[in-house]
Amino acid sequence: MDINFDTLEEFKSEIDAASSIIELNDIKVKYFGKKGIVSSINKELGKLDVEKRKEIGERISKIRDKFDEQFDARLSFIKKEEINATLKDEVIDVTLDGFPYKRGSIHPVSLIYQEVIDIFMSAGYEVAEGREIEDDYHNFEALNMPKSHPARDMQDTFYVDEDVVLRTHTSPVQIRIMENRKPPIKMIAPGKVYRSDYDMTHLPMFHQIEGLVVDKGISFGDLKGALRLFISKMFGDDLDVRLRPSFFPFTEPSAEVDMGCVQCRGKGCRMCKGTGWLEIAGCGMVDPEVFKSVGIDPNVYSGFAFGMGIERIALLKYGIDDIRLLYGNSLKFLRQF
Amino acid sequence: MKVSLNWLNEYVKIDDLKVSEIADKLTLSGLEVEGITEFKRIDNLVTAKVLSKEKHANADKLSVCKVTDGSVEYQIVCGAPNVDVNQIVVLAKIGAVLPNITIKESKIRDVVSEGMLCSFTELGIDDSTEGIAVLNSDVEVGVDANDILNLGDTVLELNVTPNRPDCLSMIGVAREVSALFRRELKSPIRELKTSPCKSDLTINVEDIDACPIYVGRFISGIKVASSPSWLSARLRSAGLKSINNIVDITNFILLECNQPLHAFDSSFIKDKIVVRRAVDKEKCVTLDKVERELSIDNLVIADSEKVLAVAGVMGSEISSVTDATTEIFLECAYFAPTVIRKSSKLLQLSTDASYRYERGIDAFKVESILDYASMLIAEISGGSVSDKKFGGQSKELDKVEVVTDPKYVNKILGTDISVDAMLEFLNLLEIKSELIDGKIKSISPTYRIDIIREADIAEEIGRLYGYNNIETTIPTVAVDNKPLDGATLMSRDMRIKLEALGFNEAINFSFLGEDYLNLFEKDDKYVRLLNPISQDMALMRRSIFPSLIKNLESNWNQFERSIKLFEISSVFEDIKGEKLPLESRHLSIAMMGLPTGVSWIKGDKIELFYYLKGTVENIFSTYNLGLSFKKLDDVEYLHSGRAASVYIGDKRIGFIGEVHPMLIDTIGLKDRVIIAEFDLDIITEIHSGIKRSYSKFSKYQISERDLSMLISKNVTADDISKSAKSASALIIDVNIFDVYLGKELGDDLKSVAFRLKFLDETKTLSDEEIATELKKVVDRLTSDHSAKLR
Repeated sequence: MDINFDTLEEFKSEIDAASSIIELNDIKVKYFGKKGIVSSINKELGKLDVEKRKEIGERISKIRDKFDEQFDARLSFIKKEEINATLKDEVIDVTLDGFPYKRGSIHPVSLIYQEVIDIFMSAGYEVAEGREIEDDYHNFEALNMPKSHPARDMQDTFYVDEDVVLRTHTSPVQIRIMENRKPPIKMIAPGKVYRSDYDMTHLPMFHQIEGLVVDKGISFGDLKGALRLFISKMFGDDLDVRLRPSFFPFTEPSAEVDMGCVQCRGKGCRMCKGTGWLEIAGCGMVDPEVFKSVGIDPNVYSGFAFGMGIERIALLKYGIDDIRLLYGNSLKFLRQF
Repeated sequence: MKVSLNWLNEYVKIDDLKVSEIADKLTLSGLEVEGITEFKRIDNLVTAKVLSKEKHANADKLSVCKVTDGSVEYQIVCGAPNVDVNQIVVLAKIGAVLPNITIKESKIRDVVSEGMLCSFTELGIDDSTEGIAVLNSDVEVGVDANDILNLGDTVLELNVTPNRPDCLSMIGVAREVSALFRRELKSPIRELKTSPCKSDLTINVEDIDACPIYVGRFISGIKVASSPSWLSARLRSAGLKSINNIVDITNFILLECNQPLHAFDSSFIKDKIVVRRAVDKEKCVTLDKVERELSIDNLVIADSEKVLAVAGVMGSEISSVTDATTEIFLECAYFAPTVIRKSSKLLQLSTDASYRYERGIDAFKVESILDYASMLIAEISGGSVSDKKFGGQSKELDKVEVVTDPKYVNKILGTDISVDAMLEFLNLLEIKSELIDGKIKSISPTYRIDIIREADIAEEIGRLYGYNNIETTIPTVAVDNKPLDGATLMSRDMRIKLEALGFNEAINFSFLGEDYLNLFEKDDKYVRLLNPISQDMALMRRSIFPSLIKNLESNWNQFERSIKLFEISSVFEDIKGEKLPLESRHLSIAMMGLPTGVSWIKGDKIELFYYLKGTVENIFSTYNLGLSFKKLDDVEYLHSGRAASVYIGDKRIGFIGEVHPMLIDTIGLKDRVIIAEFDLDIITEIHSGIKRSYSKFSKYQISERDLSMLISKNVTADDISKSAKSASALIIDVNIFDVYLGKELGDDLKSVAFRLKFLDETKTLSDEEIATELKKVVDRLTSDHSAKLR
């Protein structure tokens, strides 16, 4: 038998010339397929003696190794070429907008509302929101504001009937809690409140957060501590806090709370009218009359209460200069939060 | 309350103190200073007399005046219409620097003017007076006008809280200042000189609870005239206008001592004075020339024929002091605060007098103030005071005594103040206090109606000790931390999810107009306000979406074309027979325009209803509620073919739907609007009963088969799914992936393609088994809905 090993070695130039995976596979079939050159040689090998068979077998095996090596190299080369071509084809404009999952927004008043609640909750206060339409008793009478009291003029009230009002503060929530539970009480009452006053600086509906702590031995010093803690968490701990005596029918002693101006940090600027102070809350020790109306003995228990406006905090925190923007619900405004 | 520091200086020496020092101390002791106005002295300002007045040759509205300061004559061009010969006026000479103008020699329309005749506004004294300031004729010519006008003064605007009516007066403020700076307080004194009086006027107080003290004196031989300049300057500093010398004195006493007075022209008092309740529908024309109808809740001062005054509120026009008055009856009284408050509220008439009476005046000074005021009037108007005092005190009033435990004070304040210091603070405030058996016994000053209990004493001590000197402590209260309630937590979650899905949270007022709300739901279940800000804010919302529709409209008008809003708020519904309405927390969502905005990725093919439905399914999905949607075609404000009620089981939790085209047209909206509204309270309640739990799942393979069928348009996706599932128990899911409506199918049919998922818990299904199940489905759909395989 005469084997032309030169013919067999031609695969080298053929593989080099292959330009696609199909061509490459054709070459493999030509040499090593069932009807390929090597198969036909192998069929003939049986006729040869053992010695010769071994010699040719080894030679073919070597060729096979060479073939595989060159084949694999060429294959990966061609694959790379083909992928490179695909990459070129599939170029997209990465600066085009992504799928329009446009973000919405949470209202700034809600953001502050939640932040205030979280600050007080982390300090162990319970949260109760209560109803917005209240009877005169819970909104006024139980809070030491009988109908004949001039202090009622401090709050312009919306009436549903003679005895039912839109709550003017969230204090009735506290009255209802105190009516139903024995101290210790440590709670905040956030929510919407209403006053019949609508101009450049007043809204007929706004949000308040009021706090109440009742236990044995609660003092005015504790009240200062609670307020200072809140103001430092909300606005930063570099701001001073000061209390000025004031009057609320449901607390005695009563005070207004000023904090260092958030803009100038207490130096004096336009926002604080040069005083360095911003009024932020009202507070005081729960008036004994209030305790009496809910059946808590003022000789045993004492407590403090405070209240502040969420909108005011929102204006200060976000630098909003017109309170009427808050409930205009223009997307130009809402999208900024 | 406006407080002139020059005036205040008459009662307590403060002219050596800085204004800021006074203001800070008052603010920090509870009399908040809300404003400080400085009235600067002006050089070259003199009083002058107008000698002549002629019309300006070249200007209709100007006059050329000759004025003198006593030694020099000046020619002044003046534009004020009220200038006249013989007036004493304020002349700003060349070189005077007024708040907004510097006076130079000038020519006005060719006529030389050597200065300016000033108005109060030009002098910076007020901002409303028209014309030049005309001074009282008794003012000397050629003197420095600064003193006459009380320039070089500072006025503090105090915010006086309702508990401190005593500080509605100069003496009250002076008393505070005297305690704060530890300086002596000087009270004004007048020695009473009287003349014999023949009148036998009787005073009959019928309601002694409403009027425990009523006294008065006649002052005869008076001359009603304009007030001396010092008096008008005092009133001006407090923001009151000068009327005449009699009325001005009563106002001066009101400001100085917090005691309202009333002067009647005594010639109009017939027979007697009666203090009584008004008869129902009794009429009275008050000083402001308004005829008022009175009721039994109005206390009046009357004579035998008519009402002379609404007690403590306003006098009648008929008995008021006029230029012709020669004798007055000066009333000084104490009326019960609640009576005056009710009377004033009923008449919707609040005056300086009623404001003070309803807060409480010093009942124990009424008689002495009458004498003081009578004397002052006599001095200024040239009259004489009757030696007889009419009326008196008909009811004993108690002085208030408070016993305070010093330990209580320190406990409530969180302080360690010594008893000596406490006594010192109280006595500085003229609250006479002494230590008896370890307790502080105080007698409240009669003007301090706010000091009646231990807590009130504690406040006074705290105030003088200084709130800012009290040490800050952290309260330790043994309470369990409690989580937020379900609806609040769900609201938070909804906000976060809706924000992520591209919705903007709105907050609207809870009230809307009746006409507008009636477009949606017209019935009597609304809660109505008695005193709304306006008629379009009169009814409390029962749903949120009407507000959101307004927001959609206003944003559309601002050229927004992709509007997706939501709001979470309480809404209100009147419940017959219940005092308080039902309040429930709602979530509402509303959309208009392109849901995805303008994008090269096409979002405009999405039907808005399905966009919002998907949103709703998404936000509630984590709660495992099992929402179902049922066609809703009988709500007037919704599109009958594009609305659904949303249920959890058989509980309706809300709806989703397109606003009725008719309503879109009525409101004037420019595009379709989709809305949804849910009751979060109901959802929270249901959710609280749903437990999360694990259930075993089959380990065998899920097999999927697609079917495409022709079916009547009226058959819903829900119908197809139900029929399929009822045909084969092995179906775990039915997913419609194509709905086709085409002309070739006719008007009644649609082609629906859907994928069925089969799963057996016990084995992998063979092709034959699946084919059997699939046939069951086709047969069932054919029998239920006459569907045909495509």
